[in-house]
Amino acid sequence: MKNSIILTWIIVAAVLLLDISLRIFTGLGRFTPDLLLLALVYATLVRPLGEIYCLAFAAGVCWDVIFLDSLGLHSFLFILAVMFTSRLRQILWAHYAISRLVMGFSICGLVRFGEVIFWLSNLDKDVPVSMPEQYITSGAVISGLVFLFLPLYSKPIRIPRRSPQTVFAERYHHS
Amino acid sequence: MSMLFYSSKRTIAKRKKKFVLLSPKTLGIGLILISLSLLLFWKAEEPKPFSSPITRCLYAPVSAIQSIRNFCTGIVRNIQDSFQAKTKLVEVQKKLEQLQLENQELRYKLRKHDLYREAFELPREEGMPVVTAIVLMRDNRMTQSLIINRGTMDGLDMNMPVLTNEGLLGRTTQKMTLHAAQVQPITDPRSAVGVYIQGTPYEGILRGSEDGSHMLLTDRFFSGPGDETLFPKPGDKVFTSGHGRTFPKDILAGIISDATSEEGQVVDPVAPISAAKAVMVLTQTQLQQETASLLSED
Repeated sequence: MKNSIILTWIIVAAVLLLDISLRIFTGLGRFTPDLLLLALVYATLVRPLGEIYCLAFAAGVCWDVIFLDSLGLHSFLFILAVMFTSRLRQILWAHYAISRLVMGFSICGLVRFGEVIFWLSNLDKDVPVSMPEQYITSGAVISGLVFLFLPLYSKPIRIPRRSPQTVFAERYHHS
Repeated sequence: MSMLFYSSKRTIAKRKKKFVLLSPKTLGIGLILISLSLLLFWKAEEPKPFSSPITRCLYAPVSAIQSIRNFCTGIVRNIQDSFQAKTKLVEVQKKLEQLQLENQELRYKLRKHDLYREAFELPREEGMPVVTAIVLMRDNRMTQSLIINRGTMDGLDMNMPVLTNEGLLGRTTQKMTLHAAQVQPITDPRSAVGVYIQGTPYEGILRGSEDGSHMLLTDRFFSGPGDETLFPKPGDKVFTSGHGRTFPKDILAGIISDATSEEGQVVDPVAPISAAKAVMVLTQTQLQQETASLLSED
């Protein structure tokens, strides 16, 4: 169990670097898929929830520090995204590619919408309306498509309705 | 009896379940509250610059990635240049001859200038205080910006002009830590710089475009004296007028590429954000000096 927790953290840290490298090397701007967010969504599907909350918080703080955003913004948005995913995984069966597309699209859209709302409320001068619109839609579509093509190696967690609550337990096995 | 026993067991289990403090839900809500309090703490007052070993550790791989990217693009450019070298060599030789002549003339003028200065006992002009910085990374999420490796510890403040060897790049924003600062380029749609056009009696405002690749010269007005018929044309250089007091006068900001657009003249930046590797920050502009004098009076 300890090994899998450490492995998850290492993978997410590697994805954080990959995300930043992609932004630096390709210069795609708003079309860059939110790989870090997708890694968190993926981890939410296959790992216990409590662990992912901590991971989302740490990843958000790192993101804010690197991009000089207000500290706490992305940790708040990432935890919300994890909460949203934990609800979605009960409705959508992530083994199907179409479900992953919907998940990626909606979660990335939610996070980018939150970012834009925060940025726009703190701007000293207005930006053209099309910019935030394009930022949200392009990011949501690209991230959705990336998540669609991402193979799901672990089986998604199926939580029994009356299961005891565990924070850092190993993933539930299918009965 | 057994049923009663069973039910009592279930009620105990239910009671026990109520006393679980650290559940995923409470953990999530707790972390959300911490994030919100962090956010409110940072937004409540002026953003306080922070720096820690963690920050530096995070920036180390990021700046390494950026330098790898610069190295790779440098190699690609070198290869491209080597293919075009022969054709460019002749052009460069011609330019070199011209520049040598110009250099001689300028040296002669400078000597004359120094002689006059000594004759009239004028003080020697001092250069503007400049802080050089390296580009840590480019943030191109919604709008484009740069993050440089100098912050408040190096004397940086918001609204300081940022230049490259080619010309004006942008200005520093309020997003700043002890050892890092964000630079808003002049191609950003929120940017507005007072400029004049070389060779014409016109002044105007240089605004960034939506896609962030070029600028638009808008609100053009006749500042005189000069010939009103000398309209801006492609190839004309655009310099800062110093009216906004954020940017000093006579810094090259761009070159007009299209003068027929209805929105305004299209101006290409002389210092594109994608090519910037090292920048200079002017730490003492007129605005900074005025602010400092006001603060000292208070």
